[in-house]
Order: sequence, then structure tokens, then C-alpha cells
Amino acid sequence: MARKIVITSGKGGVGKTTLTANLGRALADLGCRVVVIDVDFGLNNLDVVLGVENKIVYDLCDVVEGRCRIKQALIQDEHKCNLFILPSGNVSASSMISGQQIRLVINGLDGVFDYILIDCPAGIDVGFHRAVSCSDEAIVVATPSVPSLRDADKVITVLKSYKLDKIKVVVNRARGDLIMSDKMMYPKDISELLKTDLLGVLPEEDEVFLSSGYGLCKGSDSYKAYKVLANNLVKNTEKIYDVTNKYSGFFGSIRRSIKRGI
Amino acid sequence: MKNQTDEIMRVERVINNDRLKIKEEFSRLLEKDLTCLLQEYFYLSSSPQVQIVKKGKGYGVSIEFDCSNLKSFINIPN
Ligand SMILES: Nc1ncnc2c1ncn2[C@@H]1O[C@H](COP(=O)(O)OP(=O)(O)OP(=O)(O)O)[C@@H](O)[C@H]1O
Ligand SMILES: [Mg+2]
Repeated sequence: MARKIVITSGKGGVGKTTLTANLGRALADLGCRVVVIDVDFGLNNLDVVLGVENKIVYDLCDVVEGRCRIKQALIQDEHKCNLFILPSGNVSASSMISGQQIRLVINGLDGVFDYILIDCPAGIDVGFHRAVSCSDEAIVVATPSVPSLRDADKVITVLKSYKLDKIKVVVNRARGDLIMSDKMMYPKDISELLKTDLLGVLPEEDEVFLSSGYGLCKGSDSYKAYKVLANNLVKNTEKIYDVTNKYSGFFGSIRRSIKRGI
Repeated sequence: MKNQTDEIMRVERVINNDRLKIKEEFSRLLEKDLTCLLQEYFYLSSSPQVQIVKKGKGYGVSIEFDCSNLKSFINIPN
């Protein structure tokens, strides 16, 4: 049975799509069979972040409306043979698609994959409910900012009513230098504020933006952080990537000053 | 400038108010009114802090303040 995990946040632009794509890649690196599904109809970007936008022939709407079989709509990643994406379709058709219909499609993928990651749209309206109703677990992405945490808390409250197996939080765009200089909250504090266990912490890094469409560079901090995150998911562990590591000690304080200077 | 502790307290306040479905103005007004009322009885050395938490189907409200002394009641002659 595949683990069906929705990636949600409430607030827009905090990194749901980026996380879905990179976590999908990291899980595939661990040997898992992964499919990432875009249910952010109309504002779909998962295809672009994974760099497969030119390969789309059929999409989720086509599958739901019976114009093709699921297999025809799946796109295999160029570098990882065990990673697939199911892109979403256009806006007009999406309004007619129900959570139930998407669930049927997802159930058809159950035996074939180990992980089904569902990229959820921002907000808590129809699109959100449609995505959550297809999932058994949720990852709530939040950045260390008041608006994002406020929305994350509201989303967690709504998610609880779905009685999912697990709800975990991932803190994205954490800045080690700011945390060390007492200007940004510790991810641990965020998890306590949201009363939700931490699944991982991802650093704010230019690499994430630069690698969009290509995949993270192996030596980067983000690559390492995603590896820790994927391992936590697979092994049910709670290891947290230390974003402050680089900024502690003598050389760390120099790095902090340089970063402040920038 | 942002500071870790202030930021945590801010998020805590915002989230708590959202969870309780009360506006920040509610606590501010209540604290203001309580100050007026309590000043009639005490020499206040801190303004009252109101904490509202969800308790079963209702709310638990605690009010905390410091005072240097109690005010004595004087009988006003007719
Ligand atoms: N850790 C990070 N460091 C730097 N940039 C990041 C990080 N995470 C995400 N970003 C950037 O933030 C932008 C928004 O990310 P993304 O599109 O994944 O957010 P989203 O939550 O899916 O947005 P939406 O709600 O619109 O679907 C992108 O340009 C992405 O590259
Ligand atoms: Mg997105």
C-alpha cells in the first residue's frame, strides 16, 4: 500500500511545490517508487519545478474524464526511473472534478508506488479539501514568519477534522545565521507553537531557486536537508537537519557577519 | 528589529486568539476596563493581564495583577 501524503500550508508561496518535487526526488534516491501529483489545478507548477513541462501529453483531468489511462498520463523523471509525475489540467475542467474522482485515480496507483505525494493548492477552500480527502497523511509546510504560522495553525485545525494518520510540520526557509543571532525562531519552538511534530527543517538557500527544474546539487545544504527529511519519512525517525551548524563557532561568527553584510 | 522571544510571543498570541476566535481588541478593551475597575479597590503596580483558555465547552479566564496596597473604603457622608 502506498503512503498518500498531501503537502499543504494554508499560506501561498511557502514552498509546497518545491518540497513536493525535492522530497519526491530524495525518496526516489532512497530507492522508493514515487509519484508526485499536482492537484493545484489552474496554478499548476509541479511540472515546471520538475522540468517536465514539455513532456505533458495527458493530465489528471484527462484521466478523470476517461480520455486516457493513468499510465498514459504519468511522466517519468529524466534522471530517476522510479520517480513519476502526474500533472494537473486546465482550470475550466477542474471545477467539475471531485475529491472522490481523484481518489479513484490515486487508488489505481496504490499497488504500483510506495509514496504518492500530493501537491495541494494554497488556501482552505475546495481545492484544499479535494487534495486532503485523497490523503492519509499530511505535511504542513511553514516558514518562520507570523502569517505563515498563523495559517499553518488554521490548516492543522482543519486537517485534524479529517482524522488523518499523521500530521507533521516542515519548517522551510530557515536561516541559520538569523536563528543564531536570536532574530528567527527555532524550528523546535515553531513545532511547539503549532503543537505538531517536526518532520524536517529546510534551509533558505539560493540553490533551491536556481535548481528549480533541474534538481538540487548534491553538495548543497538543501540536498542534505532533504535527505534527512526523506529518511525521517521512510524510517519514522525525527532527525533534524541543523541549519545553524554552519554559523556556530569562530568561523560561523565570521560567516554570520558576512551574511549580515550582504 | 525582530527578536526571537518577541516573535514567539507574537505568534503565540495570534494563534491563541485565532483558536479562541477572539479579536486582540477584545483582550485590550477588557484589560483597560479592568484597570479602571481595579483602581477603585487597589493601588495597582502593574496593569492586569488577562489569559483566556479553552476549557471544555467554555473558557477559563484568569486575571493577574500586582498592587502595592488595598484601598480603604471611606463612608461618604450623606
Ligand atoms: N528553502 C528555500 N530557499 C529559497 N527559496 C525557496 C525555498 N523554498 C522555496 N523557495 C522559492 O520560493 C518560491 C515559491 O515556492 P513554491 O512555488 O514551491 O511555493 P508554493 O507554496 O507551492 O506556492 P503556491 O502556494 O503558489 O502553490 C519559489 O521561487 C521557490 O524557488
Ligand atoms: Mg505550489
